[in-house]
Amino acid sequence: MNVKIKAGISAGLTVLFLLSLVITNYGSLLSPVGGIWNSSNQANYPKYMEIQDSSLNGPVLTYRDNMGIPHMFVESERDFAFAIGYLQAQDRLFSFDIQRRFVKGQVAELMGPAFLDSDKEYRLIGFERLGRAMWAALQVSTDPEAPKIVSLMERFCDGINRYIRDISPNNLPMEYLYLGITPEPWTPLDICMLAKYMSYMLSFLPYDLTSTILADAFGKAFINVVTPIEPFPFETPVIPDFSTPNDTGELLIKGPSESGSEDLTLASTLANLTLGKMTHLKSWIEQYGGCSNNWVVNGSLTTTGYPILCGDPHLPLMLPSIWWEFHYVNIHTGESLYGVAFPGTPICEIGMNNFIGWSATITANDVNDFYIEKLSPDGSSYLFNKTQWRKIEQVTEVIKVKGAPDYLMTVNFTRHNYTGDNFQCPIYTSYKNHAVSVKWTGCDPDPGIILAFYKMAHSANITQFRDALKLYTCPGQNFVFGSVQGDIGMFPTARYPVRNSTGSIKDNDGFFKGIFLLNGSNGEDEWTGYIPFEWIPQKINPDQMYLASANQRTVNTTEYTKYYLSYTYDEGYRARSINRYLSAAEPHSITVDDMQRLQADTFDVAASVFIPSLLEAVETRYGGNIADPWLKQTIEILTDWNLSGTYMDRTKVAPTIWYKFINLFIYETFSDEYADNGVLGQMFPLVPSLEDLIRYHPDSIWFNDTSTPQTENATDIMLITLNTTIAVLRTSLGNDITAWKWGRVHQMEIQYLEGVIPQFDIPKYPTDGDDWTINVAAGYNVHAGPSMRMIIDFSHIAQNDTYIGFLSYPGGQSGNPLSPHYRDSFELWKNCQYHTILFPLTSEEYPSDYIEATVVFKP
Amino acid sequence: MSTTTKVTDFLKKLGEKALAFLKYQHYYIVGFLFVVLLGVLFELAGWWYLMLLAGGFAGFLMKKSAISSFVIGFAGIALVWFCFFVYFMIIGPLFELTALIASILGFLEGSSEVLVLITIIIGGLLGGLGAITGTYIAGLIYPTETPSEKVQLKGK
Repeated sequence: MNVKIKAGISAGLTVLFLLSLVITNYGSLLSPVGGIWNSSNQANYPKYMEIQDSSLNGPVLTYRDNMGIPHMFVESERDFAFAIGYLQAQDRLFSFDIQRRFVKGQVAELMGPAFLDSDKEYRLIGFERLGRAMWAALQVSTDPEAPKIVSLMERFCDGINRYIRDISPNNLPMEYLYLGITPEPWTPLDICMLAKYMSYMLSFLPYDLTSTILADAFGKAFINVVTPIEPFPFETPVIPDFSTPNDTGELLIKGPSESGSEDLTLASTLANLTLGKMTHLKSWIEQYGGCSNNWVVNGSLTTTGYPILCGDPHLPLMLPSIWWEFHYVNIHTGESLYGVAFPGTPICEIGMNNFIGWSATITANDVNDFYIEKLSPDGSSYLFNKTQWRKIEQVTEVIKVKGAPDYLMTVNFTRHNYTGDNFQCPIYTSYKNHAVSVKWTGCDPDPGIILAFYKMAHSANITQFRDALKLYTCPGQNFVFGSVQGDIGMFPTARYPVRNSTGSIKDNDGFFKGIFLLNGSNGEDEWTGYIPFEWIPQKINPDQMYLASANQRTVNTTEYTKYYLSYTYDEGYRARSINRYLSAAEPHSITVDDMQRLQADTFDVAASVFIPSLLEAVETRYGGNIADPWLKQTIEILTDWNLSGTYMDRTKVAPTIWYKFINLFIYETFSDEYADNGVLGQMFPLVPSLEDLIRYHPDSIWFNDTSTPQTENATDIMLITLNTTIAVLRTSLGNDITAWKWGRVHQMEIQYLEGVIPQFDIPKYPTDGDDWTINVAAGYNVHAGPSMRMIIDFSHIAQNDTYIGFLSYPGGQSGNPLSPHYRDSFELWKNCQYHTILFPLTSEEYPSDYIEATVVFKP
Repeated sequence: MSTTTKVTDFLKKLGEKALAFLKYQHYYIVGFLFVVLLGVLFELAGWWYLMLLAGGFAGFLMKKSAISSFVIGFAGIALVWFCFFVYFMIIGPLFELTALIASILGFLEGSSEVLVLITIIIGGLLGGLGAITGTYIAGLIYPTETPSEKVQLKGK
């Protein structure tokens, strides 16, 4: 054969082979350098690493302990910010980078048109716009600490970007190679954007829409059945005995105006349309409910004489874990901080320093309102305060879509700047010359959240901590506090809006403004400011010697009438469990072990209320002569369970029956009325409403089944529900009741990036608990729960001990699925165990057997 | 014959053989070293596609037969990639990764180490195909200097 032909054939084959490797991306993926093998190469931290960077002021010695947690010994906070950025990126670069894409609404660019609707919802709220506005506000803030904080945020980004430079292009995590993307530089704007996103996930509630739909069906008063404004007698609010402050707490009020008529049908239609626009971006508080616990006990209750503080914030359980742990010590000042941050931010959300410690649960107080806007005939303007026609503001968002042309999205805004604030309110939808916009405190560019967290972390006592909280903006959080001075406190803090532009915080029907859709055009429902800090219910060193929050009602709203806070609190059973235990504690009796047991507690207070009522109903009806063998066996099981304490144990059968029963009981009680009014599928009343009915109103009309001629009461519906429960369980789990173990149907699964690669997940496993246990595990398929458990023993901090507390979370420090620290904390967490919090105040005190790797940053 | 003479003769013969080998086979050795050297340099830079060039250069310089060029190119790059994987095996959980990949891909589960072998073969193919092409290109540019394939195969 001619050499030319041979050369041609061989060159052709070679090019074909090369092209196939390029097109399939296998070449890049399999290359020894720069390929997927990085994941195993970088799975272990190098034993010793030196990073030289001329921007550093001094050296930073970092020990990673046996959980991969970095302990940084720094000469300046500026260098700490750089080091924490670098180390966080080393562990989690891809996870926070991909989160940035989600939050910015840039997923369709990577994954194609299927993600366009999701991107549009993110862009409507506009976290990037909100982040940019907050970053701009922070840079011009008059707070004396602001310039320093701005500089620290920049240094944090410098640390991340140095890491990105160090690993580009050949040592990127394998996810980048798979997706064919590279990391963009991290900026302070991204930190602000993530802060806004977290604020949304922890505060934004759509329930005003639901309550409007239900009000149209049943009348406004039905809200008192669904989620009552007034507390039930069995509730235990976060703040006990809030005493009214001395100042009047009056806000600027423009004076009463004429009341307009309400069209609830139109409002309900608009509410339904708006809900249809909120299918992808659902806040965690909406998806999982408020499910966090925290409490602190005074030294008079502990064996050491110092407070003990506990926190387990309940968030989505995911891999890589939602938290990242760190510790730093300033070797010159001795100042030390240990805590957890959301990756991508340098903010210590929960933690402790040399003097104080804190944790947080969300308050679920109402910080967003939906306004019905009246539009001009051409739809270009909206009516404000009865007479002002204002032009609708617009922003065009360009959404890149993989495999399709760019999508141009126009976001419309109104402004409800009746008095002080002046931020944009995005419009969700319009219908018949009306539109729905949302006003959310998170849209306020005030950078208070960043200022407050920085100052909280640097507080030395309760006064400084409380002063820091005065700056705090959003989301509403019950900050629990303890200190070496012996002080304890609870601060359910945020900027809570006041809607009193008519001089009243209630509408013409006597309901708080903020519960239903508000009128955006007549000036009656406008915000006039935020509740003054002194008027936010809070408590320091209470007589009861402990403080506890579990997302329940902030304060007894029968006594606290000056301002409206919310109507969508947690059902309060976890709070009752915690209070039940702590209120019974003897002086000087509580130990850290007790607190560990309490965090692991699976006693279901709701079951302890309903099961005796159910057994009583059975006794009343059958008097011990139960013919049906299934019912008889079920009652025996429930009776035993009731006697032994209603613990949601995965090895027991009774919890399975109880959980099915209570869910069906709500359905059996209310579904007929909901169906009759065409709102079946909307939110049902919560369990405490049912508890109130069976305890105090057993003949309530809600128990009557509207489809039967006779009138039913609570006993009737409970017995019908119990029989239905047995039938349903027999169908789904078989006829052998002893096999209906709770763990068979109640399982936890922790997924990597929402399950895109099941091999990186922690597979499903049977677990204890339910929606109403302290150790919460709501629903049958559990995807949210205690995102970490922490216990701080202030006696150890006071004595400058090296070990000051306990912590664990479901996952680990590293985001690399092959790293030994990807899920090394999981087994501890699963078994309600902890790693000790290492808190050495000098590098010399650092225990050498805890050094897994050393990183030295040098100028 | 004394022991010393025996040893001297042995070394002498060995040296002659080595010189003879170098005289007739040094193209292969130089070519192989060339492939390895370029392969290491290019791979360290992350330019996996330049394995073709590493093989191509060697093939071009050796101007040997297609088969021998392919073998040299393949072996050189395969050796380089093999060494990388030996290093990876030492510093990280390499076979945990292959098991994970096999599980995600849904094949080779239980013998996921083969993925490393496949990768080395892919590297080798890049080097080998590059070398053949290099040889033929050399043949096109310097037709007179390229011996016939039969002569080449005999190494003379």
